[in-house]
Amino acid sequence: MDTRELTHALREATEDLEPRPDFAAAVVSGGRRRRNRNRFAATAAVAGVAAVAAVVAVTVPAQQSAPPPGQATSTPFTPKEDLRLVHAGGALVDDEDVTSVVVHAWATGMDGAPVNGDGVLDDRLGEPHIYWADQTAYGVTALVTQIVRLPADDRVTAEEQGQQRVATGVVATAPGTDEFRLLGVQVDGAGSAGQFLLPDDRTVVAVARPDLAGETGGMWVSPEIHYDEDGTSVREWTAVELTDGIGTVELAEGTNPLNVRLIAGDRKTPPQRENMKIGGHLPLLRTATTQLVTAQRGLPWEGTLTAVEPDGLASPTADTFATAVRGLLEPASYIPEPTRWTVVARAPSGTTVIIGQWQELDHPARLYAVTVGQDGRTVIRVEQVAVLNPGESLPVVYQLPDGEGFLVAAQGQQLSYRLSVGDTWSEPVTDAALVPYTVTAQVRVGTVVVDLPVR
Amino acid sequence: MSDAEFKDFVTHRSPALLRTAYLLCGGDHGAAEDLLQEVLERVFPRWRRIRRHPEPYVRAALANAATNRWRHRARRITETALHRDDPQPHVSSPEERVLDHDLVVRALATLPPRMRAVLVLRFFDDLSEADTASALRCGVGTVKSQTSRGLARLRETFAEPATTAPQTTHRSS
Repeated sequence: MDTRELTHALREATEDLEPRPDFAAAVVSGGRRRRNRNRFAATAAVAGVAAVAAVVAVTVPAQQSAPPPGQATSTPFTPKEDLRLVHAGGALVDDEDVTSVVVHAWATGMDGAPVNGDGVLDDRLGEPHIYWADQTAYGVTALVTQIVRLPADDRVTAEEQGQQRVATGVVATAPGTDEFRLLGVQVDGAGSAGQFLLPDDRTVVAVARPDLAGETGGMWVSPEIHYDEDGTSVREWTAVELTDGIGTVELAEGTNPLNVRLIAGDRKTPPQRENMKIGGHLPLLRTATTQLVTAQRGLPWEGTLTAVEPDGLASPTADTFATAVRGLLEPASYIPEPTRWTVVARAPSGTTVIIGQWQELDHPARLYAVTVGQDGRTVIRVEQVAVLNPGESLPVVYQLPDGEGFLVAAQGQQLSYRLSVGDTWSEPVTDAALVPYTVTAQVRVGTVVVDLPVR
Repeated sequence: MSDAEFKDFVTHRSPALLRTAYLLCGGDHGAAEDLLQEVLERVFPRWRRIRRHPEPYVRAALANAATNRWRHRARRITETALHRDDPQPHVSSPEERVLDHDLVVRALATLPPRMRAVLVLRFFDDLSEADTASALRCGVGTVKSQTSRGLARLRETFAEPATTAPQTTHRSS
């Protein structure tokens, strides 16, 4: 592969990409809101700490724009105004026996591996501040904050070099010991650091706006995804009780930490799916020492399996699939890992059906089918087909609507079909086939015969 | 007037910028659109300062935003490993010199974000080494080395047909 081939391939891969029709309007609208928010935050900061506490989130008040090429980095972020460096909450925050151990654990833990093995957090300004210390279901727990100045080298991105950030850590008893240790650190980036899952995998402690003490709302938790009848994945959100600058949650026994999501949202109502930004959840740092593995439950196929060649599809099949299926996926759980394979067929009506898989977090992978109109561009149907069972001889079976047949696939296999028992088998094809509709259709995968289910 | 000018820029240049974002996001159209929207929204308050040369500014901002995973990285004492069954993509034979563009995008997606950004800026957006270095706020030497390593990794991917499915372990970020 030479660089001309690479350039050609990249351009071919993207030549039909277009933003959605309302994209420009959405950008201008969002940009105006950001401009107004920046003006307001600057005004509040000038007005004094009390005003900042009332109207500005605990964390970074404004996103940073990337600096123009060739110009020095500049940032209006002022960590010293961050409430995480000012507020002190919890029943033990004034207990010197506790605080002295906490500060020692922080200093020890920030010195070298594993938290700071590459020295990125070496340049710490001022003294560590105990944001909160109290009893939790796990035991005595403390959150500690301190300003760090990031190094001016490529251990961090160019934009971050030399910048000041707030590091927030959790100190509690290390599992398997009776020692108080620094168990995890989050360094402020998007302005929402400070959410930890303690080593029992059940207790969550999260930094929250101190002015919300005594109220619910403001932070919401959801332990897992559920699937509606139409295949849309949804979450049920429970308000996190906020007290004295902290939200605490006790997850149910057996909760899978990989599927838990925490969100900072409206004070009075659960987060609404249509208003949720993809990936807008709070990062929850797990501090247990046991390994958790997200099992890959999908099919390890690659590429496009073509049953009937599509005609005039405007975008690559995988791209069309990923964009369409996104609407069914749970926004807070979304991870951009599109299917690595698709099955595609042009239906007799002229529409194109694309099938692929999507696994959300540590849930089973599911098959989804996207139907594109005759224009090759308009998505007219998206539906969840089934939970994937990779062990099936014929893992992909989709009955097209309106009696247009069955789209079936098994990568690397020879497939033939017959419309009823006793009929002659069709000529075998490889990977994928479009089988005419009957209630008695069968598919032979190698030597295994599969009855096609009719819904 | 400035707002209208900005909207005009977004309307006419978004398709091209979206293509860059798409490659930076490893082939995810939805993520690319989100990334581009977020970057453009951040640019809007600064429009008056950059409107004479907005596109290089935005392209640099895209590349940096896409590589800027550091702010979302939790520094944890225990690492949670993700095992991923990640077979190499099936490739055409050495005799066929046409690359499957879908596979190229997927192979690009397996590269570290910064390395991917260098290749996208150099070979898709056709920036020089110097302009790429300026966009990513790094030295030309870094661009050269990232280019060389990135191309080498892509060439490995397309060197031989896949025969087994190697295990690849990723560290969550």
